Amino acid sequence: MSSNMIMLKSSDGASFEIEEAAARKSKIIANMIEVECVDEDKAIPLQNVTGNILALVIEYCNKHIVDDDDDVATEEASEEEEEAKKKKVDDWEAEFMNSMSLETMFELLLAANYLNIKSLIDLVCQTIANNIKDKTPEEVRKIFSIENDFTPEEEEEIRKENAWAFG
Amino acid sequence: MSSSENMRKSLTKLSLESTPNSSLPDDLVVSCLARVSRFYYPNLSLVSKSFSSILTSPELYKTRTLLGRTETFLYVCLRFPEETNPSWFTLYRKPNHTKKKTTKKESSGNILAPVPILNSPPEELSGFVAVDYNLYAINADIEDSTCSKVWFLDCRTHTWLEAPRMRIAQTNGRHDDVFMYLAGSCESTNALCFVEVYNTKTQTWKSALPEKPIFKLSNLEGKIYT
Repeated sequence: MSSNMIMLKSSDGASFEIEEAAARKSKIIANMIEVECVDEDKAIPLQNVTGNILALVIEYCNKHIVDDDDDVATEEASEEEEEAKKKKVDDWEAEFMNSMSLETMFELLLAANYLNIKSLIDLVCQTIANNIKDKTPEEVRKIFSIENDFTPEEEEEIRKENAWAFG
Repeated sequence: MSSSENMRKSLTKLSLESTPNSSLPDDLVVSCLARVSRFYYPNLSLVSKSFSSILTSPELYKTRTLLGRTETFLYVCLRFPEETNPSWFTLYRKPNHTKKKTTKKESSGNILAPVPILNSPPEELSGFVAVDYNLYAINADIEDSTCSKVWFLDCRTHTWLEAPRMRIAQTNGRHDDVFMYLAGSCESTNALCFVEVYNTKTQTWKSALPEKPIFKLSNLEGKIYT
C-alpha cells in the first residue's frame, strides 16, 4: 500500500507520521488536504490534542484504514467472511477501549470530536454509555467531573418520585 | 504502528495521574446518554441538575431517534374510584444495578412504575394515540362540541400539553410516523368526509382527501393503550 505520508504535531510538541489515507478519517484533516493547506514538509499542528491521545487516534485510524481497504478488495466476500471480519473489528475495538481508563476515554472523545472522526466518536460514546449505566450517581459525577448541585431536599424529591427504581 | 502502541501504553498511564478529568461539552454528554437505556435514567437524573435537564431535553430524544435508539414503553392509565385524576404507570424492566441491595428478591423483574405527572387536563381523556414520544388523547365528546380539544402527554417530560383544536370532534385515530389520521364518529352517515389529518411536526389539522378512504379504525399496531 503506497500512500502519501503526512505529519501531525500534538499540542505538546510530539510529531507523528501517518498515511494520508488514515489521516483522512478525520474530516478536519481531510478538508485541510482538499484545500491544500497541507505543506508536505510541515507538520499539521493539532493544538487541542496531546501526544498520548493523538497516538491513540492514529492507532485507531491506522487500524480502520486497513479494514476499509479490505472491504474494497473482497467485495464479493461471503456473508460468513463478512461476519468474521466484523467480529474481528469489534474485538479489536473492544480491546482498544479496554486498554484505557475512563479519563483517557474522555480525552479521546474530545479529540475525536475536535478532529471530527465520526466512527471514533460513536465508539467512545458507546463505551462511556456502557460504563456509566450501572454506576451510582456519585460515581457518575466523578467520571464526568461534575458537582452535585441538588439540595438534599431536591435529591430526596427525585428519589421519592422514582422510589420504585431505587428500591 | 507498534511504536505508537508502545507510546500509548506508557503515556495513558501518565495522563491518569497528572491531568484532571476533562469535562465534556453538552452535545457529547447527550451523545453518551442517548446510548443508555431509559431504564437507567431515574438513577442518572440524580447526578446533577444539568444531567437531569439533559435527560428530558428534546436534543437527547432527537439524538436517540437519529441513532435508532428509540425504546417502546407501555403506558397504563388507571382510574381509581377514590381519586379524581387518573394515575399513570409505565412498564419498566428493572435494571441490574439495584441487584447488590436486593439479593433476597429477584431484581430484574418488570415493574409498573408510577409516572409522576404534575398537571392533569380538566376533562376525562380517552382514545389515546401514540406518535413518537407524545401520547395524544382524542376526546370523544361528540355531542356538545363541533371542535374538540386535543391534549397530549409529552413522555419525555411527563407533562400534559394542549395541541391545536380539531375542527370536528373525533373518536378514533391511527398514526403513521408524522401524521395522525382521525375519522369522524360512525354516527355520521358520511363519516369519511370527516377524516382529518394532524401533522404532528407542524401541529396543523387538514382534511384528508376523500378519495383515500383507507382507514381502519381498529388496530393501532399495539401502540395505543387505554
